[in-house]
Formats: sequence, structure tokens, C-alpha cells
Amino acid sequence: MKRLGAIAVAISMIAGVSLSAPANAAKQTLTIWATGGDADAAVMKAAGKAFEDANPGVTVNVQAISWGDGYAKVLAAAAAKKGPDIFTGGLSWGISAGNKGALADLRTLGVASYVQPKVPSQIYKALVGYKATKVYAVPFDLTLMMMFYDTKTMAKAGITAAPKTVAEFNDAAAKLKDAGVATPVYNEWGNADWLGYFSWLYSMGGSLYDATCKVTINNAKGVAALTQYKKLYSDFGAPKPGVADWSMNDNIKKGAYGIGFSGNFQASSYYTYYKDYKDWTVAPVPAAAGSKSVAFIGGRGISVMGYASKSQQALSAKFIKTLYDRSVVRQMNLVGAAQNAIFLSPVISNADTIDAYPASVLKTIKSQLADAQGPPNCNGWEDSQAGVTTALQSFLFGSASAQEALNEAASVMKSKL
Amino acid sequence: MKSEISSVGPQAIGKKGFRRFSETGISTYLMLSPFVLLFIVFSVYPVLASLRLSFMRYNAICNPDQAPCGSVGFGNYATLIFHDDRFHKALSNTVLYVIGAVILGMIASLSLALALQEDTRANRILRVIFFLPSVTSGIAVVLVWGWVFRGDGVGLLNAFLNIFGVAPIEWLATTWMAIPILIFMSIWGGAGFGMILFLAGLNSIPAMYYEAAVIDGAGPRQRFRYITLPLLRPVMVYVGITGIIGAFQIFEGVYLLFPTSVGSIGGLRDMALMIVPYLYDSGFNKFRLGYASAIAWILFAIIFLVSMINLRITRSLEDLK
Repeated sequence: MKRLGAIAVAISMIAGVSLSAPANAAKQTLTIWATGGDADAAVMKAAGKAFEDANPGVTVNVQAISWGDGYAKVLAAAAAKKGPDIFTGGLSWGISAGNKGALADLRTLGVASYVQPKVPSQIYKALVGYKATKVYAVPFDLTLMMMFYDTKTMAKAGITAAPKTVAEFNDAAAKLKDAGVATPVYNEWGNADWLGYFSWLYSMGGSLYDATCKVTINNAKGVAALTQYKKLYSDFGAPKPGVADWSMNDNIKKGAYGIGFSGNFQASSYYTYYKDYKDWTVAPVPAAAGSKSVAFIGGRGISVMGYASKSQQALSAKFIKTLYDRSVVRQMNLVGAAQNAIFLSPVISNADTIDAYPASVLKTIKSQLADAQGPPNCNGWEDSQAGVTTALQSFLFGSASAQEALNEAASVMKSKL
Repeated sequence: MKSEISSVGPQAIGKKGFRRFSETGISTYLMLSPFVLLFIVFSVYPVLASLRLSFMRYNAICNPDQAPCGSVGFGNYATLIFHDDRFHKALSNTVLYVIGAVILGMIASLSLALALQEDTRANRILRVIFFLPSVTSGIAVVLVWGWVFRGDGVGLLNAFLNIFGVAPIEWLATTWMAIPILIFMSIWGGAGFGMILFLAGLNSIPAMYYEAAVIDGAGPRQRFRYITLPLLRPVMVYVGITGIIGAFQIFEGVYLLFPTSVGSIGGLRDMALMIVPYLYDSGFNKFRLGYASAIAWILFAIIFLVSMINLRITRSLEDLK
């Protein structure tokens, strides 16, 4: 009898294991590396929670990785074939890591065709290599270069409206200087490098490359834009990198800074830390007469790792598609608004889900997004950036002429094509 | 080692167990084996692997023997030596830094050693104070220097100068100041360690030489020139060579003090770009591991060459004597 009992227990245990096996097999964990801080990871977790609710048995594990070494970590994970299923990172990481063989093709996963019609073409294009047959990343969120200022500081200097043209900007900066503003102009994002120059270049009709990836940075429009960019430092007191106080927002609030160029993440910061301060606002970057204001657009792309199994890649694709859903974006923004990490979706109409921004700021963001440009998708751009920045600085702070500096930059870009 | 083993061999005959095992020397190899194994796995193999990689295009993801990776022969070396302007800038910056940091560092160390040579209570305390930076975390020290050299009015040095009405100076954004600042930081951080080595050297010089020199009428300068300096030469060679090796490998100061702009490293106009930060940027930001390996081997060749020249010169001086 005892033996029978033991056999019965053994059989029931085996049966239990075999019965529970399918349930275990159905469980899947999606690991995501979110580039940025803990707040960015929290925003992604909100999307993960929505995905978990809609897909019982799926667990979404989100980990933050820093901007500084995020790209290296992703490549190290690819080399070791161990790490996340999905990662978010710089817009150009997808092209660069994808060409190294680290990432899955999002066309075959059905993500590219799903996302492409939803986002502005100039933003989508920035993540797909020129003449590429594969898509390694799609836009996850956006960061938009804008002009920040305090309306009272401007009014004190006799400026009644935000400068729209380059000439109006120069006039306004001169007035701010004459009015005793300690730092009339401040470049917070991309200070004295290619990124800071980018918006001036494109808003004055120039470009880094043309549509066929021929280098165009050193034409007459490029020279005019660089000459204008230098004025920020030589005429309007813009501090060099590594010099100024870190807090642009605080200095604009105090009236110590006149006009600050930075990304929409500063708008999030105003919302989080300066809730009672109502005099700040934003405007599009100035453009040459007759040209459109074309701001640099950065942000993050999202990619699927190439080493992930087919089932993990399929689940990853399913998850990525939800990130363009208005209700998911709203959940992400509810979390982001509380943590200085407002999520600007690449689907422009989803910007309406951001309750945290004043209506005027939201309007500027939406209008600027329509004409913004992402980084070039030409071969070798990632490797050219350092050389281009050094060349630009040889004019900004050195003895080279604008034409010589841009010829040097063009030479670097051509050598990497 | 072989003769040692054979010499104990006959005596070991007849002995049993652990004693015999121990005396034949096998135990020596067994006890050394954990270290040797780790040394081979973590030092010898990576060094040889990096030599192989230096002749390849490799990004850690692709198969090293297949396109887009694969052998490039001396391509990486040729690009670095003949075409890479940033490497040339890094090399010239590093050479300037090494010359400044090593020479001025040795002068500072020797001066401190001479000043604090006498064994008094005050000197013992001062020696500890000067030695402290050597045992402080390098990164913490660099971050503090970053606060000192901040370019706006909040920077400690600028705040101090402001008391005398001096306008804020852009210490870390003025191209010609980058290398002097790094040299200064190096001297501040390393002079105490050099001082200890020089003190040991000074204390090993027999006092009778100085006594005889005084009797012969030699003044302090002559005693320093003809007794102290020649007898300190072995210490100077050691301090010099280790200083050169350390200076060529400067990294934290550049990485932390000179802000990395978008896609770059080394500060404004590459004013502080040095070889190891450039190696790091190539290898671990851009994952051009073959190229970075070639930089590492060029750096090794330079350090090896400079050390050999240093040794040869000091040996020649010894021969002249």
C-alpha cells in the first residue's frame, strides 16, 4: 500500500510538472536597455506595463544605460551575444551598429512598414542608411532644438517678439548685450560642435550632404552659416564648452542669460523644477530671409538585437509597435511628466498627450517638428563627427578662415564616405 | 633551475612522500602555476591577440576572418602614421606632456626630497602630506581639479582671483592652457611618490663622502653636483623610466576634465587629445578594435624606444665617468 502511495505521488508530481510545462513555456521576458537616466527607464517601464497588461505571461524588464557609454555597451552585448532584446539609443547608432552586424532587420520583422507612415519622412530617413536595403532602427522619441528665453528679459531689452530671421536674431542679441544681460546668447546643446552649427546651417539653406550624399558643407551657404555661428561667440558672449554655469534654465530665469539654444528636454525641466515660473517660452530657431526654420532633431531610435531568438525578435517587434499607440504614449507621458522625462513621440499628433507643456510651447514644438532635420544618414557620418567639429572650431576659436575650416570638414567627410 | 633540480636529485633518492616531492622542485612549479595560468590567460594571450588584431579590421561583432572584417596587413599602421591627423595631434600633445610632466616632476620630487631630507618631526609630517595625493583616487582628484579650474565665476581658482579683481579665465577652454594644466596636475599628484624614492636614494649615500668633500673645501653646490647627483643616478633612471611610462598612459585627466563634445574626445580643437584617450575612443566608442590595437602597439614601441634611449644615455654617462 505504501509503495502504491509512493507511486501515486510520483505520478502526480510528474503529471504536475508536465501540466505546468506549457504554462512556463508561454512565459516570455523582454529585456530592454533604455539609454538615458532612471527617469527614461521609468517612462519605458510605463510602456512595458501596458504591454504586460495586454499580453499575460510576458514580463518586460527595463534597465537604464547611460548616454556616455551606451553605444559601447550595446556593441559589447552584441559581441558577447548576451544582453537585451531591445535597446533605445542615439539616432545614428542603428545605422552604425546595424552595419557591423549587431542588429535585426526591422523590415523583415514588419516594424519598418508599420512605423514609416506614422512619422515624418525626414525623421524616419535619418535612421535608415543611404541606399540601405535593411532598416536597423526606427524613431523612438524626439529631441528638438529650440530657442529658449524669458519674455521679461527680452522686454527689458526692448524686444517685443521672438526673432524669426537671422538679422532679427543679431539685432536682439545686440540689444540684450546693450541692456547688460551678462550672457546674451548661450548654446546649451551641441556647444561649438557640429550639432550646434547644424540648425544654423540648415536654416540658412545649407546642408551637410545633398540628397545623394555628396558633401555640401563647404559651399557658400555653409560659409555664411558658420560665419553667423561664430558671431554667437565673438559678438554675443556665448561661453565656450566647459566654461559656463550648468543650469541654463536657472540663468534664464535670473535674467543672466538672454537667449538659450537647447533641446525640448529643457522644457521638461522647466515644468518639473520651476512650476511657478511662467515667463519662459520657446521659439523656433532663426532662419535666413526666405528660408524655413529647420531645427536639428535628435532623440532616440529603437532597435532589436540580432542575436535574439526568432520568438524574442517577434515579441520585440510586437512591443515596438505599441510605442506609437496614443494611449501608450499618454501613459508614458504621465510617468515622464512627474520625473523630468517628458516623452516626445515621433508621431507628431501624439504631442497633444503632453499635458505638462504650455499650449504655446506645444504649438511651437509641433510646427518646428514639421520642418526639422535629423542627422545625415550618409556612410561615414558617425566617424566624421569628431573631425568636423575640430575643423569648425579651427574657425570659431582659431585662425583658419570659414572656408578653410569647412574645406577641412568636407575633406574629413569625403574620406569616410 | 634544471641544475638546481639535478643537484638535489641524488639527495632526494631514498626520501619519500611530500619531502621528496618538495625537494625535486615540482612543488615550486605547482605553487607558481595559478599565477602563471592567470598571467598567460589575462596578460600574455590578450597581448598577442591584440598584436594579431592590429593587422586586421575588426569590430568585435563580425567574424575576424571574413568581410567586412579581415586582414589589412600594415594598413592600420600606415593610416595612423601617414594619414590620421588626430593621431598626429594626440602624439604631439602626448610628447609635450611627457617632456613637461617627467622633467618638471623629477625636479619637484628631488627638490622636495632635499628640502625634507632631515629627519625631524615637522619633516615627517610634511612628507606624509606631500605623499597623500599619490594614494588618493585619481578620478576623485581629477574631479576636484575640474572644480578648481571651472571657467566661470563659480570655479575655485576664478573665485580666488576675483578677490583681486581678475576677470574669470576660461582655464579648460583655452587651447594653450590644456597641457600645462595637465602637467601641473601630474606634478601635484606624483611629486610625493618621487620624493619618497629620492629620499631613499639620498639616505643610501654614505655620509663620509660629504664629510670628505667638506674637508676638501667643496661647497653645497659642488657636493650636490659631484656627489648627490651621480650617486642618485640609479634612482633617477628608475623615476624617469616609470614616469615616462606613466605619462604616456595619461587618461583620466583628459577624459574627465576636457568635455567630450558630440562624437569627440580631447576637448576644444583636440587641445588635450592624448594617445590613450584616442585609443579608448577608437576601440571602445567606435569599436575599431584593430585600429585601436595598432595605436596600442605604436605606443608600446614609443615607450620601449624612449626607455632604451634613456638607459643607453645613462649607461654612457656611467662609462664616461
